[in-house]
Amino acid sequence: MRHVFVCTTEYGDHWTKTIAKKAAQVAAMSPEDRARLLNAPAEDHADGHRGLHCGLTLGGGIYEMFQQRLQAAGVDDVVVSPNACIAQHAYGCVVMVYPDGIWYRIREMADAQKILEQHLIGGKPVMELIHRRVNPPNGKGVQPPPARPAPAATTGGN
Amino acid sequence: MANEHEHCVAQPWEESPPRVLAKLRFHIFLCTDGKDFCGCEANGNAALSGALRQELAKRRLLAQVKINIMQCRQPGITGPVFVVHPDGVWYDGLTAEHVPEFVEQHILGGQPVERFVLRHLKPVTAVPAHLVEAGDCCGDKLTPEQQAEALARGTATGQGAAR
Repeated sequence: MRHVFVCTTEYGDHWTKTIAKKAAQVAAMSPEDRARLLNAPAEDHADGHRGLHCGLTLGGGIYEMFQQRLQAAGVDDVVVSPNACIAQHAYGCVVMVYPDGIWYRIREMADAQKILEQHLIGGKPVMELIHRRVNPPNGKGVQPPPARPAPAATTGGN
Repeated sequence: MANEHEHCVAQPWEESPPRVLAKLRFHIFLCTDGKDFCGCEANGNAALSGALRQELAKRRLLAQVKINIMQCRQPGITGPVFVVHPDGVWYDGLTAEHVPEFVEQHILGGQPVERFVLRHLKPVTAVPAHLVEAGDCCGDKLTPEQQAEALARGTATGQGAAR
């Protein structure tokens, strides 16, 4: 079963603990202010944050669209989960598809529709939208890192 | 680290072919904040989250195992729920005291802890409640006012249910 994650931090009723403050800010903005904030390049922000989390910009709409279209198409082997921030602010909203291990970068709603039709319904990854790849499972666990050299205080004593 | 927000800033290879996250072996998603949808919050997912992060940090595995949070929205589970990707193994009912066993067996050994694996996974394609209430359908986004209203309502009911 395919598992899809859509970044929806601060979207709707999903992340109720942090939403009220941001929602008030966004509701108070003029449409021009909202558009300017959303389209600001990453280098305009000291740490790459675009000022709004995905859930208030694109992520919520993608999540809703996926749910509605998948339900309408009768697809029953996909789980769509809202997930919280994965620290990819500089790239905008990210949609992750597992177990394929593909992270897509979404620039506009049409990208998300393409992913829905080609990948989630059709089963073929959309190569040109791929942002990161995760290696497929190899059936093995992780290798623990080599032990650190012992600190000088303990080795040097006596 | 020179800049702790380095991961948030666009890098020179941004437009180059997609980068493989070669170090990353497991991407774990913990269910949180789902008090209206599942039993994870009531059954100790905060303790699980803390214990798991501490255990991985202690063994210095955080470079190879990434932990994020999500909402599972699975009906009829006991909780807490989490998923280990890209293997796609769902766990249900594995709590903080089982974390050392889980790390030994699955993270280091590669074998799922069978007695906690969630088998009967349900596809979740339910339309979000605030869209149903607003009578919105098929891709039309809520207006900012409607969104703010839905958000305010969600916040109020969420707090009422929690405390």
